[in-house]
Amino acid sequence: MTTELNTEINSPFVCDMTALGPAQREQHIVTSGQLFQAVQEVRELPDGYAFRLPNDSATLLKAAEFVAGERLCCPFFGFVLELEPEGGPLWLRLTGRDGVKPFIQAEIGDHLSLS
Amino acid sequence: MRKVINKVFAYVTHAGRLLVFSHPDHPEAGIQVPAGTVKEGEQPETAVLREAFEETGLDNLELVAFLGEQRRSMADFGLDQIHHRYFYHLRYNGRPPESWRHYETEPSDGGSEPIAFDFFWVRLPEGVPALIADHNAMLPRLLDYSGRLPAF
Repeated sequence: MTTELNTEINSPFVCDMTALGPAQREQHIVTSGQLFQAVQEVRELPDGYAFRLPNDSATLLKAAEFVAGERLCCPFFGFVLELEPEGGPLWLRLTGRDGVKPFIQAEIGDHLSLS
Repeated sequence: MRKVINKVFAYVTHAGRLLVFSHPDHPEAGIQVPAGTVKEGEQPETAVLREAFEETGLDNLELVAFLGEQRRSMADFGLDQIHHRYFYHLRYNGRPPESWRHYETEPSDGGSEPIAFDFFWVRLPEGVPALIADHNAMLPRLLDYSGRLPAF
């Protein structure tokens, strides 16, 4: 049995897929698929994963669109979009508290085309 | 990559009451609503009716509405699993007993021993006890829309 204290400390990772309306959700799935199929490199971080993406304006906008939708479904994720200077790569970092990595794998794994 | 297990949850209602159950042999499993695993190739709408029948023994169930879905890590229960959960409102169109024991003969965990469930009805919303593992996650949505219906 989960105690109240344990629930507070180890509150589960829960994504509410219906936080988005049906049309919004359908678009979010398409956006997620397109974004993560474009991933060129994945780096494991202590608190999540970093995804290297093509450095172009269309991908940057798609990444922002992904973040805008995903944060509604999965409010426990942290997001960082980083554009390195001098035309360097675009990175999307998806992070969270301890235990978040398996959840990221489940959320994103199906979309990744990297082996 | 981690496998996501699809689960269905049934909020079975009758005359303003919700069906819940306890495990007489495993009280640590808490109070739950009927739920189970979606089979390979099975639609969630089909699975929820199948699971609700198998778990409760009630055969006059009507699927009323899809309430929502969520993905939940089960790490807080010591399971290295992610569950994708589909929640439905089912209505029982009959005269049910106030409480009864039913045996699940095809447990989701693959066990071969029948599992006893003790079912009972609770009044919505004030009579609903604490449900384990977020089984109550979509109850607010059930109450939101069912509140607009004359009976459910």
